[in-house]
Amino acid sequence: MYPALALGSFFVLLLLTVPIAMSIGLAAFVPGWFGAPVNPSQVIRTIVTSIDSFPLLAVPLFMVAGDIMTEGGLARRLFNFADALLGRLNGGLAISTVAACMLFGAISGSSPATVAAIGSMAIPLLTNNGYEKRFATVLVVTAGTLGVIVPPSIPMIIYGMAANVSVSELFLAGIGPALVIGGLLMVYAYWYGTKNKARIRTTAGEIPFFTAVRNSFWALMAPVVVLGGIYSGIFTPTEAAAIAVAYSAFVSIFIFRELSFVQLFRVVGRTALIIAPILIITGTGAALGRVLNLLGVPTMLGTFISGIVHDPIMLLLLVNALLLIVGMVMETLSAIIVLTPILLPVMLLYGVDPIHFGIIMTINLAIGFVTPPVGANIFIATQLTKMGLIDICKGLPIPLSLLILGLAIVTYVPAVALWLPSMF
Amino acid sequence: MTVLKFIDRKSEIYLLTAILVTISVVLLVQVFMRYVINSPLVWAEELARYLLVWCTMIGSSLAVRESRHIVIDFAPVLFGPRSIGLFRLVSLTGILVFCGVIIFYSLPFVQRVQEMNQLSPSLEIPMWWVYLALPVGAAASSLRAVQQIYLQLRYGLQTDEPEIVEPVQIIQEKADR
Repeated sequence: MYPALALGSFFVLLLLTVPIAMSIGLAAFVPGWFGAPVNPSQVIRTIVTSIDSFPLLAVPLFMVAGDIMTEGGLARRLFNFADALLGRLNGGLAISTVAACMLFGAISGSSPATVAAIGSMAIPLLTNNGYEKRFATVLVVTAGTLGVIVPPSIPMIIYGMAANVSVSELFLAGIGPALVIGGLLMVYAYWYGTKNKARIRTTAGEIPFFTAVRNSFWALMAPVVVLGGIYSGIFTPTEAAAIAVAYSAFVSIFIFRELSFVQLFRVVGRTALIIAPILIITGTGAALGRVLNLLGVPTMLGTFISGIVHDPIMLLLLVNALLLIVGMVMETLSAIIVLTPILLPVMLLYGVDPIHFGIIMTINLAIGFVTPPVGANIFIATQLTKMGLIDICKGLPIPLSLLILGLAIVTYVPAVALWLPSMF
Repeated sequence: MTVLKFIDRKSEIYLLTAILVTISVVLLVQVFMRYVINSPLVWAEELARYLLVWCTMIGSSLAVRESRHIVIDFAPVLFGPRSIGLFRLVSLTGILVFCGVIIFYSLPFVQRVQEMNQLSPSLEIPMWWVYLALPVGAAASSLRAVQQIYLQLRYGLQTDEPEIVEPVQIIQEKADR
């Protein structure tokens, strides 16, 4: 009764176009107003204590680093490197686009940021070389999900916080799935390139391979420093994020000379504007999650689920379907922060590994970036290409089903995600 | 530029930039101290976390001014472009209500923390300084919401974005993420 009241008021407020953060926050207070044993100061305390978190600090820092890398020319060099490496294959430029998304994903933790950074370069280049505009757009939109699947990843940080598991371990577990999904999209690009070979020109070789490697050296070192530092245990993900900011600022200003100090501060200020709306959702989302927990939702859900499914395989199928739908209509981070404390106890009951579940959840909600109506990647793409939402969506079925195939592989072959962390 | 205009346009963004730069620098110094000097700064992590709380709440106010809070905008699509202004008013009212509720419950909470004289573990600053971010941020956000409601009413219900003279120079290319 009380949980329905909270969720009902949340959806009503959302439909009235009240911002997500505020809708969630108000919904967290609602049960208390109607007599549920929830103290409002608990809500207040949870909002602050969940933002007052060391792992969460990595989120704004990785966002700042990603923006500096885009503005400072690191993203462009990564793309050139990928093209010099893979451009000669059929559909080479498209394959390089996927690879560039993976490389950029290895320094940025955001999916829409990856679409913006790589898409703004790759889409015009692809269309000028004979690829269809819709194919180019859809490819970047779907490959952009690699931004959150390749570590570092903002959703993984938030999940780690909500589920109380190691963010570094999640980052290790993301590599295998990223290779699977990146591989699938590259196969798609290769297939398209072979089919349309007559129309496509290749640009590979315009920049000689060694020149591209030399030019991109400092950009390629960024993921090495960031991920290497995390995996070797030299620094925590949060410290790595601070180092990513410093590294990208240093390289952009002193080595590539594409940013001045004034521009650097402007980039930081601009990023600040998109940080707060996300962090405030984390705060109010954690509060709502806590309220739903106090109201006994995980237990209720557990009894409900054990009534219909009996083995982990069916459970994972059910949860995947649920998360895909949630990912379509809900914003990713709020979904993670509200749903993790509710779903995780049930998953543990069925023997699902919490790290594995975190990766499944991340991929599910990353697919939500690509699906209308609430698909951040598509919105970015409409701004980049001036194509209509529906026009872009017509190209989605094939790459989207590849993403879902990737999700199925990761779900039912746990080793894809869990093999790497088990080595350490 | 008059003082009021400066506060309106630049106060939050400058504060936020300063906070983010401070957080990065403090964490870098911490890594340096731990590995090079071998004497870790115990207070660095705490300071960065508390600054993050303030960064969120100040940023929230700026996000109200710039309409950057993430909104699910089915309704205006459903009811056509003429309803956009109306829903903006509803949205801003929702923000106002939220801020009111937060101020109402957080002020007594901050007061209680202050009376308990609770200090933070390593910086040993009063904990209520951290919790104070909540009512202050909510108050600033509600001021921004009132400002936006005024502009929306003054410049008509039809327009999507009220025409503010010379808005903060933010490049719009990157949407919410």
